[in-house]
Amino acid sequence: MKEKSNVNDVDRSLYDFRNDEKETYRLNSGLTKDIVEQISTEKNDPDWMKEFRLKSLDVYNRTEMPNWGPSIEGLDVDNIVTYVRSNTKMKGDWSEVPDDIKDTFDRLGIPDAEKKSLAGVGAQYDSELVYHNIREEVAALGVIYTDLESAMWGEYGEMIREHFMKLVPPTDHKFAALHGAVWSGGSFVYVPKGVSVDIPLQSYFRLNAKGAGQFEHTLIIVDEGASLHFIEGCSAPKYNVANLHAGCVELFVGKNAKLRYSTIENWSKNMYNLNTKRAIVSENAKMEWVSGSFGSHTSFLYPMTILSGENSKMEFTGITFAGKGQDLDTGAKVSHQAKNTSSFINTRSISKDGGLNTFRSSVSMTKGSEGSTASVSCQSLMLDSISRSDTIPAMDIRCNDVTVGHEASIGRISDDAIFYLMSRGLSEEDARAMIVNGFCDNVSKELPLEYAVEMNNLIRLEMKGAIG
Amino acid sequence: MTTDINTTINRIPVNTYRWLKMNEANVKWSTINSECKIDVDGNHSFVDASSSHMDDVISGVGTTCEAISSTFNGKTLELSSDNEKSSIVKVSIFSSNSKSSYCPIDVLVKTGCTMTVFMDYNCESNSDDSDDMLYVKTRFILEENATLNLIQSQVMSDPSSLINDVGGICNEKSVFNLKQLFPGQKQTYSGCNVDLLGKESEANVDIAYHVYSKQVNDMNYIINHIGKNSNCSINVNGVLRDDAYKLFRGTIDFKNGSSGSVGHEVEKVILLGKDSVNKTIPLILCAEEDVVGNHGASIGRLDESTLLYFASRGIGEQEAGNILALGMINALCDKINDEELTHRISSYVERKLQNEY
Repeated sequence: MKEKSNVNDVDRSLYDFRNDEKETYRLNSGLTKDIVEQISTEKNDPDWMKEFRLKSLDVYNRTEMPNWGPSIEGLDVDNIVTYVRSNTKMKGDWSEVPDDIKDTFDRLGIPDAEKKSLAGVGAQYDSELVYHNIREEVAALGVIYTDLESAMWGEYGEMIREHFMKLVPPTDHKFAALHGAVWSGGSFVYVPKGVSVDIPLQSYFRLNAKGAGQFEHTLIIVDEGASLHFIEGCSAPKYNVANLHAGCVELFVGKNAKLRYSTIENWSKNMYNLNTKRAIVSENAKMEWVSGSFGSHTSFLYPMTILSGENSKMEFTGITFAGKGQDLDTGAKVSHQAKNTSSFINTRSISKDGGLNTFRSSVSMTKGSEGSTASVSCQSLMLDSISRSDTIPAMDIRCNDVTVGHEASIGRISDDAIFYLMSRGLSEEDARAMIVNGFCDNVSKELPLEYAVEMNNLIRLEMKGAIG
Repeated sequence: MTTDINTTINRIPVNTYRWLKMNEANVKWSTINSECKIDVDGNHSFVDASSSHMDDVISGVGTTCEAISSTFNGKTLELSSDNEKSSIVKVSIFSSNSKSSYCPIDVLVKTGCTMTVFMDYNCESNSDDSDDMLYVKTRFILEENATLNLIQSQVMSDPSSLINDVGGICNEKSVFNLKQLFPGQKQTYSGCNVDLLGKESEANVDIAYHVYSKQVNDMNYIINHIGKNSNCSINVNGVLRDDAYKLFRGTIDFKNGSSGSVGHEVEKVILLGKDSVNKTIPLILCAEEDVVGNHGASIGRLDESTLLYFASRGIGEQEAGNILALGMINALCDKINDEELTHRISSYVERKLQNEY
């Protein structure tokens, strides 16, 4: 007889703490022209940006909700506060950050990680960045890592105007339009030609305010022959009302350049995570995505890569862990638009405790993508029969001189594997955790050590309480 | 032929991105304005459509297709194994010249019986230019321990169009084997929905197709695992040439309670046309822990080693494509135990290839 496993709910105390919203400035909830104009004023937008926001609002009002994916009926944008600012300006020294906010990031380990293993850190609290810093030696190479708002007024203003929401236009979908209207915070990174940033930059997004939305915009331009590893982290305390994250990431990878974008997403389980990420990759360049999705109530997340240059490459490595009350719809999209391009999408997903997991992807090969190859591999693990795991990969091939491979599998933890490990002295709980950790190895081995440890801890937390 | 009905058919059970235009097929069709000729060799009867016991059977093309069949007032062909342990029925369906016709067929295989049904679709006029529209809907119920081998093939004219719809229910330990050959015509819309209701029931689907010129082949296959220890396999092999368009939707759906079930889906597509469009969406939906489901797809042109092999024997790329297209059809024909039918299909494809290439 097959044994069953019960999995307890998750202990998220590490992330699930909150600060009082004293001395914070928040706009009224909802989305109106007045609110968008107020945000624009608060942020001291240039005229073109104010106009952009209002056009985006118009697109938002005209665009239908998606007729696919998880239900977002519990999200009412009229109840979401789109702008919340704490009573502080962005600082370059942690000692100048207000104590409660600094304490938040201390508990999340950000200043410590900055000292040990990062070339720069940006920390966003609700709608605005509260800290941004880059190591002097990295800045000396000409690397720009700053908030988008101040960069718009400086030397790189024209570059930002040229690239902002060009990869993800507001017309892309309803929540891209929402983002265009109310975006706030995020980072701008420019890595000049030939510069290799050997240690990662990290932005961390913390949403503290109840019933609020976070709409940060990340714009990264890696110029010809340069390389960068960028890490993005996010978390929030849990509330009994919906919070919304509709960020946007736009990545421009120049000729012969390389960009790795790693994310450990651990939003609270009242969060609607409707995030959009897109990269365009030039000739001989490479884009690598590493993505861990653990949090959120509902996620729509499919980083897209446009391989526009000959011999450009993309790899997407992802893990999604859906537990009780979660409906996580994740995956990746790639469009091959030039000769001899290659892509590899490799994902794992785990469903337990009633969690709903959907892997969704699209691979398209346009005319002119001769000599290109694409491979998709997705594996799903079901830990019980009250959960759900769906696989929805799509391929659209319009060029005959290409090779496209796809494989997917869904299954449970093998009884033989558990028995083998238990016969060597492990408890069933440990055996299951070990197998799940091994199952997720594709992602953890791609992360810097500290983050791999954090991810493994998250998995251990998720698995804790498995009993025979 | 003029078309006056616009409808969407072949909807996948779970939608995906709208911009892919893969969630369903938009079809333009003509109101049914003719009866098709049906030759049947084997035990059968014709009954009023209203007396069908299979109205609850869900088909792959979907209920939206009733927009086309709603005006039909003819009879339903009913095939039943009765109590024959093993029976064979051959059904030849002839579409009307440049007209739109509909043919509903119900198949009941009783407990412990095995039934083999050959169905071939032809143009009555035998003309290469007739733009007939034929809609065939086959529903079946398999009782306990029953087996249905359903073989469907079309040898219609190039300008003709076909909607081929299949739906059925498999009770305990019953087996449904479907083999379909689509050697190419202007439009082919095919759908199949099988509910593996009983424990240890099984469905095996094998499809071979060849799509060329500006032809369309749009497919939607859904296997629902409901009973415990049910099994399914879906194997799809095809060749695309010229400006051909093909979309394959294949769904294996493990419902809660289908523990111990296994489903496999494999698709292989050879792309020979520079302007052909190949779309594939293989879904696995899973609400049960103790199942094994997998799918794989391989899409591409003839690889260098295959081309070299042919070249070393004096065979060029075009001819190599012909050989492979014929090979895919013949490989499935080899699994069909009817020499006359397989010879006819093989010759039909060979003739097409000679004429076209």
